[in-house]
Amino acid sequence: MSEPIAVRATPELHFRYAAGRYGSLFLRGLGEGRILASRCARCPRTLVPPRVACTHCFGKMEEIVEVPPRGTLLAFTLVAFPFLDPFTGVQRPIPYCYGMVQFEGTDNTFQYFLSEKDPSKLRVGQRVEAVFNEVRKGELGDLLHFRALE
Amino acid sequence: MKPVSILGVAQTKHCARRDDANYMELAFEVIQDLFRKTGWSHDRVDTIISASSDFWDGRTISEIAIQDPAGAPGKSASKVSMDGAFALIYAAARIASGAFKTCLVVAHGKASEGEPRAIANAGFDPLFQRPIGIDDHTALGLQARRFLEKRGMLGSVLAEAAAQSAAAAAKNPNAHRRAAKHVLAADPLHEDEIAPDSDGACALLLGEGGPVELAGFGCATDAHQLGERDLGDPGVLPRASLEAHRMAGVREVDVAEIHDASSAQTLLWREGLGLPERVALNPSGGAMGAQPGFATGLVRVAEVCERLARGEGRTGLAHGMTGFVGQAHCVWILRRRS
Ligand SMILES: [Zn+2]
Repeated sequence: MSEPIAVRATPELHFRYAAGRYGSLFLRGLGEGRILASRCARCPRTLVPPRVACTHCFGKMEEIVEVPPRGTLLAFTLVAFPFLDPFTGVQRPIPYCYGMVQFEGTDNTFQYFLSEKDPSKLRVGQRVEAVFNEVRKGELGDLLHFRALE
Repeated sequence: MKPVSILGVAQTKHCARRDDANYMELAFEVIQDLFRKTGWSHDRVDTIISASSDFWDGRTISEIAIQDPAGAPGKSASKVSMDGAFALIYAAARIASGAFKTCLVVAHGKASEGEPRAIANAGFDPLFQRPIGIDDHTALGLQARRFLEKRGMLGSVLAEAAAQSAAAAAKNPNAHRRAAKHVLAADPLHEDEIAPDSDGACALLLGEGGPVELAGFGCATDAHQLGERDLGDPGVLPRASLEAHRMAGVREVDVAEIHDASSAQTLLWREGLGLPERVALNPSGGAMGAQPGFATGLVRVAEVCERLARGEGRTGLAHGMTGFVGQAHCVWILRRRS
């Protein structure tokens, strides 16, 4: 029998995700070097990034508050596989670490890059702070990474 | 089986583009509207069934965006990656079985966030069909051509049917396309003879004791490959329709809302459903006035339900479809409880 055939295809699909009202607020906040959260009057919980429906009691999150750009590292991992940034289509330099950070005054964690590339130098419970880019455009990339405070 | 009725319906105003609302905000809007209308709240909802498409939403597990507004965390929730009319089968079964007392059904679609034609192209066979540039619109063109040929009709019937839908949509505050250019799009179909791409959502509450009951349904799936079907025929639609009418014990309905992706389908599906001229078809303008992805069929159910609840007829038919040019059909018969 001759070799079976497999046909290579490289379909490309483009999306244009609406950030909506709450997502737009968050991104504009990053552009100003601020971390914004939504606060639920009932639970009461404060969640980052802000969202219209509370993930815990499902009601409308009416209040937008600014939280301090620092918090506690609750988990971290190492990204070692080749990974394309979905916004740019360009591969990010690996390896690097990202982690779950609970901002002060919030009730959930936010996942983002860490400046530390060696997981053996990281510790759960470590205090970290958000570092913003000098030039900001009101996009996720305005937030550079979290770095250790201690 | 326990009887299943609709406790309330809500739909968004459908638009060509909703940049002001992301998926979660769109779902929140429609679910809160449903609760406002019915006086219900999340606490009283037992289970959630949603309909959406990963491919259309540009994320796998497309229900992630609507879980919070639907109150899904902590409850039994599931998604159907087909039109909302099909998701309604799953939802109704949950009530009919007695396993759950109330079910929130949500369907959403945001055509503006993706590339509808490219996504449709990706829905076809990758080896032999995609390379020819086939998509939903050109497939509708093939169907319209077969339809005209088999009936010995002229293209003008397509324009007439489109004009009727546009006139009805003009009276529907939730529809967004009231007129379109009569320029050739997918021969023999013109732009105004093809349903628009829309952003929108629809939500229903199922349970006991509502004003309108789900009296019966039928669904059927045909071959996916266009080459295995005569697109000029209504395919498996008559079978789904017959099943629904039988289950409901209804011979003829007073009002019907169908998912017509083209004005050829407005005519072809009417024929396939065996609807006589007397029956008001798509008084909302149908999908030709707004086609919000996988919510389109559920919007048909909501439209019929509202009309029956207002006393405009006693029985109604709602139709949804999934796949290309009517590969799979789902037909619901609704009845006002007297
Ligand atoms: Zn809450």
